[in-house]
Amino acid sequence: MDDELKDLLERCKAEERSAQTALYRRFSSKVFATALRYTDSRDEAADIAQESWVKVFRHLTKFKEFNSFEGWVRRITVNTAITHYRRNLKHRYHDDVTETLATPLDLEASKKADFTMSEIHTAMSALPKGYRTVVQLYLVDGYSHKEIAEMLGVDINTSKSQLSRGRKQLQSFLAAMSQRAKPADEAGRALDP
Amino acid sequence: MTTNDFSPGHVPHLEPGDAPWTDAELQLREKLLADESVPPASLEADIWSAMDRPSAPVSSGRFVALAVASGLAALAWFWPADVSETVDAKQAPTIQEATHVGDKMASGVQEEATIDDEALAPLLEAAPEEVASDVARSAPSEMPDGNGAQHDEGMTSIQGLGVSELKGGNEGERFPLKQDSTPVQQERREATLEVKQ
Repeated sequence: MDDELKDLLERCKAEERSAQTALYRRFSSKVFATALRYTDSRDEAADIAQESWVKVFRHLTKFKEFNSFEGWVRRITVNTAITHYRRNLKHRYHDDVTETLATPLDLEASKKADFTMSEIHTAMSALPKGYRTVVQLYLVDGYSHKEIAEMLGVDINTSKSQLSRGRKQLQSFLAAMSQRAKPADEAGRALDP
Repeated sequence: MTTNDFSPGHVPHLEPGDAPWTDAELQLREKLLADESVPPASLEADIWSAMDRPSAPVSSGRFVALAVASGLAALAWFWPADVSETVDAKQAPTIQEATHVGDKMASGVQEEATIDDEALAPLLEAAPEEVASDVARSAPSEMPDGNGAQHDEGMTSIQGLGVSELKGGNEGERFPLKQDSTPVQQERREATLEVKQ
């Protein structure tokens, strides 16, 4: 952790508003991006981010300096997002899932592809909400199946099966994207002198 | 939740039997972890206003909930005891003397009612005198003379039924009820009745 951040955190613990503002501005776009991954709307992401920041400032004394501050803030954001997700789950209908599996050829093609953020967001948002949540918690945010089961209030085997199905769907979406990108690349290369 | 590792080189552990992470998945992970998105401009002001809002500490909320719960528990524990004491001390009905309604009706005697319930006493005292006089007018004068005595006689007959008249009833025989020529001497005693819950 750099000295500037250390100093900032100390001043934040003393509830110095200018330091809190500086800390917020340093990490706000990361926190908001994390919140956006777990919801479909910017308004809800803003609510999640606001709650998360209030928690960060109120519980800053619990943060241990030998840990990554960014990781600590991310965990708080993910936990807040999951609380929102579970609250909304009561009002959501079951997602109908149509499984489309990628062929080995598709997967080979996706290996070489360099996906843009827009493509990644498109692929993630194409997943059913339940699969997407488990895939993000496991693959991106690094939670174990046991932790995911506790967070979502489901069985460990449900977490495992949702990850497995989610991964298959995600792979096929990414493979399809790389296949679509390929002809465009070839056409672009043909036009080059 | 201490297993999270957001370092770029870290790959989440897979269960035995799971397919290994594909390059596309790992690329997706790296890019999503590094992703940034500019929040709405109003968010910062919303955070400060939420921070400035006084919030009740969790511990005091728990304390209030605990106090309410223990109060209810204490109330539930002592409530039945209080009720029984009240009934025993104040509201236990006491039969002082068996009286025959007919006697009073016939003689037209009006007795003052004793009100045990202290709470009702002021209400009854405040009742208009007209009501009391209406009651006095309607009850004894409309009853023909002698009815009370006849009713009393019937009561005596039943009460004075000799035990011997019931013999054989257990064997299915029917005996006509006869009136004893010499009614059994009645003894009236004071009785008290206790109601316990």
